[in-house]
Amino acid sequence: MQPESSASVTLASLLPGQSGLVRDTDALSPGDAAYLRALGIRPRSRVRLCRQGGPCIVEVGCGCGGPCCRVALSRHLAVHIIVEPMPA
Amino acid sequence: MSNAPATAAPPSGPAREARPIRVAILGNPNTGKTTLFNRLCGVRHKTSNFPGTTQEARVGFPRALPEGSELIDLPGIYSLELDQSEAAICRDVLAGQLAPRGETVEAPDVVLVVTDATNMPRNLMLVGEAIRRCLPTVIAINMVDASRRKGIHADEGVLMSRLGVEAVPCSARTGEGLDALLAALTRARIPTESPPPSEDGLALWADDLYTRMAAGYDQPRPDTFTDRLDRAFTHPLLGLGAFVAVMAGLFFVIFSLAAYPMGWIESIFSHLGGLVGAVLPPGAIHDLIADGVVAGIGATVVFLPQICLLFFLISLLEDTGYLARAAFVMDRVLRPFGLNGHAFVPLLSSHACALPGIIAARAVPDRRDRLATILTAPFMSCTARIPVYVLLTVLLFRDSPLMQALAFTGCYALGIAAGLLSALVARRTILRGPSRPMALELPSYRLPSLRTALLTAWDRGLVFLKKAGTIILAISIVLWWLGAYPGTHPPPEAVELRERAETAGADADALLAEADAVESRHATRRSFLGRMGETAEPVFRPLGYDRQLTVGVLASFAAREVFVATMAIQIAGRDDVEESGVFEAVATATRDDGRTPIFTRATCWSLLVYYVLAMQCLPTLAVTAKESGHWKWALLQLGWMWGLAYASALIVFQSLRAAGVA
Repeated sequence: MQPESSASVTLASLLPGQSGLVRDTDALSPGDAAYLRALGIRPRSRVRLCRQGGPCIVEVGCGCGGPCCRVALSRHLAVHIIVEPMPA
Repeated sequence: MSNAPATAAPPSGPAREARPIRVAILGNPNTGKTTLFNRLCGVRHKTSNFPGTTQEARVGFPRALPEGSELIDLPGIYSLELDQSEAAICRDVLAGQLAPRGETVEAPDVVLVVTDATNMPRNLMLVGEAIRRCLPTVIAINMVDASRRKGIHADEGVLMSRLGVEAVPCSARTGEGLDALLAALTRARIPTESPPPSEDGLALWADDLYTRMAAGYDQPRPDTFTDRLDRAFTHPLLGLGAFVAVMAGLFFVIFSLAAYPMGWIESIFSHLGGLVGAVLPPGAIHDLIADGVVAGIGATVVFLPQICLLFFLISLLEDTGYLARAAFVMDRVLRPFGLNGHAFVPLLSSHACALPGIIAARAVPDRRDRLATILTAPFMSCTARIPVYVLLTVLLFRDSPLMQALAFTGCYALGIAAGLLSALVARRTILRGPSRPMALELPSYRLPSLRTALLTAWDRGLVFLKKAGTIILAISIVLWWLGAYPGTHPPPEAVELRERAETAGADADALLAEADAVESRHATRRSFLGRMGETAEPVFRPLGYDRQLTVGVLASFAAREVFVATMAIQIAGRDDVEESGVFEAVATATRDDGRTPIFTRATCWSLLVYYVLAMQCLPTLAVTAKESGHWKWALLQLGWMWGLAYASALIVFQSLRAAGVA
């Protein structure tokens, strides 16, 4: 899966500890996208990669900067989520 | 902590009359929904299922609500709109189209949405979906004790004034706020707010609502405790090591602690059998009650301590948040075989007993993954196989404990390998389809709830006794009847021994014991089961089994461990293989021709492979049928395992014989 622009990368390619804003999850199947949205991973939500790999661990916050939860994601899902890396 | 905004008063409204209410409890997984249910209802609940599904349904009867009120514990879901069976059940219950078995099908009077105070932004999405239903609603903001410790604050008054329903901060673990929550349930109101219909619109609505709730509070502190523990527990090597240590501890506790109550249960039922024997006059009714009913119930109930203990400990582990990390660690190992990380605990549990393992497969979220786990679980070597493994490995390597241990370990490895390969075959044929990719919430670490663990163990124990016990008991009685009837006259050899005993003086006891043994062997051979053994012998002959071994295999169809006792009865006339002289008699026993040994090396290897792979456990079939929702899965499991066992034992025996191994 290729990111849309040079500023965007896949969630799987973030560095450990790096944060990003989710831009889209369109490459996922509708069922997977709906499940991830319910878990909080949706456009405009803030994510931080805690552990790389398959599965990886992601800290998920909402767009409002509230408290986060942790989600383990298979590599299949992580490479289909496009994020915009955020400065540390 | 900054200045806190003023908390709004609860929405006013006339208190309802004290009439019974039906409350449906909705919430995300890991929000403490079950802990709340247990805190409000305790043991005053019943467990059934939702009709047409295998989804467990718990209905509770809290004392603190008006007489006749009910709490329905719905499955934990992340969204009502997902295309998942759990979400469909919740939708149907809220729409008044589904109710737990035995309950009236009608919409609930109140929806209680349980949210996690430490994770409100995501939980508000489900709140929004719930209030779209326009049912009287109350929001429980649970785990406020944990949120205070983490410095997470939000104003529930904003929620109440915006939605027009009551929101009650509480802690199901400590009991804080539960009186207020119960009072709120009796005056629940229909929401005044209607969130946007689209899911994107709902997400923005939830973000906006939380922003307003948290306005004026400090940002939450980073959760460094979870960070530190996760660095170890999810590390590829450290995590695996921690996992092995935790699971070894879990099973050490189960094996060491369950042995005591299991011994007590066996002793109680042994005394009970003796009591029945003393009270009832000899005859068919006496034998049926003592040897069929009491022994059958005893054989079932003896597994109860292992099952209760296993679920008690798993509940504690789940509550701490560790179990989700264990699933994460094992996902990498199991994924190539078409299973996922959730399958590991059921598979590991099956090494104690397949019954709790199969029941534990409820934790596997995807239906295909769950079925694959259920079909695989009985391949794991359970404790019932151990007596058979011990007998055969000792017969094979009498003077080498090291070789016995290696053969024993090989049995476990063969079971695991056969299980994983069977899962792979199932996922590529009858359960073909994509696995649900792992997207698993890793909840925050916390202290477990002892009350929840105890109630879970109680629940699982009752389900086991009610469902499996009835079927096991019926089948035990049938097998007892087949083994005990038709009654036979004592053979001339036994009559002669008894006559000699009358005049033998000091040797009388030995002669009487010998007469008993001769009679037992004769009765077993002439029983229906013995005759079935004769009839079925040609089927098992290619595996190296004679008539007596065939009877042993048939008699242990309901439970593997029966094999050892049956062989001892047939050969030595006594059922305890550890009794003096009995093992020797078994080891040197010959077939009906009086020359060929029953247990040759090739036969022992063939039997060992057969017992590792064969489905010789009727309770497991009964539980598979219940948990999978259909008997066809149980029959498939029986056919596949038996076919694999037969083919493998055949290959082993014929290969060894061709190689000259006697």
